[in-house]
Amino acid sequence: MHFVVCAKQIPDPETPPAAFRIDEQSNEVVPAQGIAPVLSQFDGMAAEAALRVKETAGDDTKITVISMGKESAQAAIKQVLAMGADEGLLLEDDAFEGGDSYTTATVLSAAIEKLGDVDAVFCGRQAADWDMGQVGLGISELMNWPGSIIASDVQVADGKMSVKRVLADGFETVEVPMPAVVTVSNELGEPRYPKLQQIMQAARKTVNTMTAADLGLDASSVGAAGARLKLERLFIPEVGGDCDMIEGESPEEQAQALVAALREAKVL
Amino acid sequence: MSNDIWVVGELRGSEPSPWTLELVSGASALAAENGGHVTVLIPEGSDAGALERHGAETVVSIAGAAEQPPVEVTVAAARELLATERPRLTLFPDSLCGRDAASQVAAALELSFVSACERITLSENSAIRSCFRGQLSATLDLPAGAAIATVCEHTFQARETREAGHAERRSVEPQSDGRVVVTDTVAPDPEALGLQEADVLASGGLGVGGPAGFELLERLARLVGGTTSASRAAVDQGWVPRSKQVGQTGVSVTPRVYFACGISGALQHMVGIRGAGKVVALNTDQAAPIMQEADLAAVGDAAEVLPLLLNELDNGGTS
Repeated sequence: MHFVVCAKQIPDPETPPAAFRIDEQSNEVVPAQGIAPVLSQFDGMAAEAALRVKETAGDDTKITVISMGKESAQAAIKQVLAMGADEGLLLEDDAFEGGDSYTTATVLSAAIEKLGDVDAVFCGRQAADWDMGQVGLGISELMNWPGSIIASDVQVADGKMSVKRVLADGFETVEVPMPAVVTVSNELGEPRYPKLQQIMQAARKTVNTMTAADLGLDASSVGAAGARLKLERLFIPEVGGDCDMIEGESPEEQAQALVAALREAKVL
Repeated sequence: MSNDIWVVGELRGSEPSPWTLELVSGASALAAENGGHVTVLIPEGSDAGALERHGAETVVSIAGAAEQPPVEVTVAAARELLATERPRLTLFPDSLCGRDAASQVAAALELSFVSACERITLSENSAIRSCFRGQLSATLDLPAGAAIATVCEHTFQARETREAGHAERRSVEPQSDGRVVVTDTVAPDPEALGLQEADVLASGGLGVGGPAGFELLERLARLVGGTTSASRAAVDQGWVPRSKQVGQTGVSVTPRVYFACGISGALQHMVGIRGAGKVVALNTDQAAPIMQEADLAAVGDAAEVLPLLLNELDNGGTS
């Protein structure tokens, strides 16, 4: 079997708020000095899900990790390779810049089609920067493959994928014929942490690069030119600002002041 | 071009969910400003009267919905109807199933789609949503042709504005493509229902330090007449069962008072407490997002302050 894991590199979501800067001309987040971008957390879980299936399915299963991004996204690809994926594919082209979930799905689908023999696509539930959660189902629609989202467990047997989906108040297990697309949620568990030896091995694994032309995509259908969603403005929201901060030097003083404030506000 | 607004609703039990009623009221308010007709598409068997009282002018019920996978049958119905009706805007709740269905419909019909909207201004063709863990906001285009949006809970207020009995009612009988087969469901957890109805929630995150921290929260909950809940991080640690999880993949809650102890306030958590009255935060990091959303906050270690807080409350109770 051949699995694809889609990986996105994002600004570290743990970046302290004070380090956030927005370029008002381009409406983009300016990377904070000295804070390296990271693999979007849910994409690590997607890789983990694919690797778990590979472990039960056997060694003839190949995992290709695909990322659309700049040269720096090699780091995200290498991380998934170190976890145990077999090959990397970087989709890099100036024409891809400024796109939306739909154009991202278009580019990733073209790459999946190019690979030709893909049985399943694993995506993160949503990217931890924009939280849109649309790329996985976009691929499913464009490939006309069934898609299941927010998986907490993925099993594969007899050409079918069984997915335990997270619902607001429970779980639901669904079965779909493969090829299929699944988006993975944190309920699956933490992604494995690569050992040093695996990190060194990953450095030697193949990472191919493809452009819009390689994928047979017209520049007008991708990136900003193909995007349906237009970003008007990115801004730091005005927060309530009416938060009462409890004073107190010691925890004892804080506890007293907090109880007093709660009583005064008639909360208790 | 149509000014019409559609709401694709969901049921809770056999009734339209409170979130759905909010969206119907919201759609009705948007239509009052910008013109257009409000249509609700919802699985059959629900109380159409409640939808009408909140402003639905047409109610289209999905026949046979109960026998098919809920998301797939909704997608099948919405694809068919929206392709011919082309409303100006279609709203879905930003629930797990709502976003799932909306994404599929938007991709199939090649429509612009904004998820997790917190404000919609039709006169400006725009929507506002959060990103980067709630640290940034974005204004996005809702193009005038036809657009799809999922809407956060409590963005609109549910209001009964008219009498029932006037709406046009019809039904559709879509067939999902049958590719997705539900093989097992785990029923709603009664504990999760308890969270939704709690008056006070004592909620803990990673910062409470472990199961012992949750024992303190249990005591706090008993003292103030509430129950405990948790952030995803604490659930992932195995300190509390998942039925206690508040947030995007857990339960949305509406307590009068929400104690957030050792919870940083990731966006996925904050969307679950939008309906909370007073938020009281206790966290070591003054810059944590929760501190900006809270009404009352103290910078401190929850594991250290909570026992003292409990003592203080105990003392106060007897004096």
